[in-house]
Amino acid sequence: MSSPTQAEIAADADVYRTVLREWLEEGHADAWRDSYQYDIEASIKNNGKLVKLLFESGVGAYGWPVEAGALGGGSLHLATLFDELSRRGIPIPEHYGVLTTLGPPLVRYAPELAKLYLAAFLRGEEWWGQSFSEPEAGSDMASLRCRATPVDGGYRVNGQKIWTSHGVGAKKIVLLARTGTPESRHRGLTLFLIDSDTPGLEIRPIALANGRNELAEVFFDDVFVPTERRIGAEDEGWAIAMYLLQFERGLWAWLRAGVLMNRLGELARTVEPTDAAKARIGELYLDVAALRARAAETAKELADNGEVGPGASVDKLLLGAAEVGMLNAARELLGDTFLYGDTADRWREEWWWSRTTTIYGGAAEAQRQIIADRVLNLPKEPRK
Amino acid sequence: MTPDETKELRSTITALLESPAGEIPAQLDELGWEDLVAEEEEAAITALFSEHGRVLGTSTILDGVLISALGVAADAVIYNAVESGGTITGILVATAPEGDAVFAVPGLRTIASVPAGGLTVSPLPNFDEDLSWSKVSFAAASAVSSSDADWEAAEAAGQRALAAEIIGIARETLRLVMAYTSDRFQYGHPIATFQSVRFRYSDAHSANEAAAGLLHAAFSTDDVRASRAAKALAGRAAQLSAQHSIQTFGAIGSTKEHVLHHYVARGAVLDSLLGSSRDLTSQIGAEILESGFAPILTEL
Ligand SMILES: Cc1cc2nc3c(=O)[nH]c(=O)nc-3n(C[C@H](O)[C@H](O)[C@H](O)COP(=O)(O)OP(=O)(O)OC[C@H]3O[C@@H](n4cnc5c(N)ncnc54)[C@H](O)[C@@H]3O)c2cc1C
Repeated sequence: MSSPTQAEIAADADVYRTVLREWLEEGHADAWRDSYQYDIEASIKNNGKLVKLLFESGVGAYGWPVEAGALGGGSLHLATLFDELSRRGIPIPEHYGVLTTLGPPLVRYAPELAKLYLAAFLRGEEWWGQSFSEPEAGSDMASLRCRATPVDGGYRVNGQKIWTSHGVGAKKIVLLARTGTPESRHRGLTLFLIDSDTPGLEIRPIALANGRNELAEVFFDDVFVPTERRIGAEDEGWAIAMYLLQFERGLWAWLRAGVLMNRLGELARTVEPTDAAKARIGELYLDVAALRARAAETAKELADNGEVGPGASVDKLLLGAAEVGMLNAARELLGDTFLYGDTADRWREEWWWSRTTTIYGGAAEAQRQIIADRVLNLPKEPRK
Repeated sequence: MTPDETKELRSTITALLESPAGEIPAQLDELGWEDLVAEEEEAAITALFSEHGRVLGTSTILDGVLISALGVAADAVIYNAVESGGTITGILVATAPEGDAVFAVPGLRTIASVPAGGLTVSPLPNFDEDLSWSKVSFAAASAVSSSDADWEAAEAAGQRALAAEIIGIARETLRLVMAYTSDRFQYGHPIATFQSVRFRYSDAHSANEAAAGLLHAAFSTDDVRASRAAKALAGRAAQLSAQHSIQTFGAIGSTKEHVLHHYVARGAVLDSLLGSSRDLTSQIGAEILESGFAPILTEL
């Protein structure tokens, strides 16, 4: 059989899987197998090389439109890439998390910007941050205050953002800012793509309790953003942010389910096969297997309809339970090794990180609200 | 199956399950059930068993699944069987046969031919008082192992059917309590508007849909481990729905006069068949500890 053409690979995620698997089986990416770095900047840099290798060899260039400098295909190609990497024990580069959520809205609402800038991200040469949350606007994101004021040729941005993932070292910031009145809530928000080296913009690291600079706060002091760097129309930011959320909902749980399967195997290889371990590993497996089964359906829903329904909040709850459960089990079953072991630093690091799974991307409580309101159609909570 | 066909199948089944329990297997035969299962196992089994759960059906359709998957001419199935001192003891869901009978015994993976008079039948105390299952025993000598039957596959088919039935029960449990607390007012508001109550339902719903997701995966693979996992998770989900429902029904939820207890008890006893949630979970855990790998099961 002759090897499939680019168009054939782009048209069919199963064809893509075959091509990708063959390439991986040739061992090109095996240097990354089971690799791990505690230092997050080092990890992102090292994994950036993998992103570059995947992209330049072609197998990592599917899932993105040709116009953005890639080879075509859709979200199922991305889901397939994550799956195949995990199956081979290769870490999913940090880049893909933000890329899969920020990339699609850029392609759709700012194709010119996608054409100019996305390729560098796709090639792993840089990564971007997403700055939506603020110190006083967390779960209630529509209350955010960081302001973009129209000026000649663009906007001036003033305010503060917080909890930007991988903000340290990010080359660009996708900013959600207020362009409407303070009371305009979700109606007065606009999205921008800003170079992180723009004068007046400052990024400071925030370390998680494990010491990793996972997050950052971003300060804007009269930062000028040209009009061309607006994503979508003025005051269209909320709609785009909701579009963006579809991709996080549609693919992130799937990505993590693949990683968790590996971590579960690792845990099983590390602990003694006591009765308690059997019960615990079995429980965890059910959680992860169900997460994977659900996330697969959601990923297909995203590919088929271009959006996912509120049912994806179920996946998010399952993800939180699986991540937290996994690291709780590791802590319990490993006992003193978890606390003091020379080789347990990764478990300790992940324990803290796993706590955030029920916070980021809409906390578990917000997901329960969505399910209660929009899936179960329960009568609404009384509001004062 | 198209959505319309699935809908039609469901309404056919709903009507069929209104018949007396004893007539249901024959009516399924008339429908050409085995062919339907052969062609559309997932749609057919989930429709039949989730509805059987929802209406608290007492028929022997589970026997049917196992016997037809085994491809043997057995009269009934004996569940949760143990062998001790030359005697096999287990649970009979079907009415005890009068004359010579052939039983499929999944726990011990044997086919037993028991002559008339060889079966000791006694009443079985049951957490679910609606069920007239019996305790049966017979001499192990009559057990003949059937070599060509695929016990693993048959048990897996039974586990998928049970998972569907348990999920049907769990969903109905949750539906009942949500309807109740949406209508009942305390402190001037429907109870279902209070966040602590709503969140319980979101969690129970998530657990039910997690089990349903895994069951879907189990129907899509030949790997029998997926069926075990789906049944284990269904049992766990039903417990959560039961717990949250009993609590948020208030006092009425633990009474004989209220319908809830039927669902709670049915979920518990069905969980015990073909491996309880607890046992299956530990079995899965033991296998993963042994192999050092978690089976992927679901493909995109
Ligand atoms: C690891 C990590 C990565 C992140 N990455 C990014 C990023 O890249 N970009 C970005 O913009 N943001 C990011 N965030 C921020 C994240 O989106 C917010 O943390 C989240 O929305 C919650 O906001 P908060 O932390 O201010 O909590 P708060 O909103 O202050 O909530 C505190 C607690 O109260 C609960 N709560 C709030 N309101 C209600 C209610 N009505 N009913 C019941 N409970 C309620 C919450 O669920 C939570 O448990 C990240 C966060 C983490 C932890």
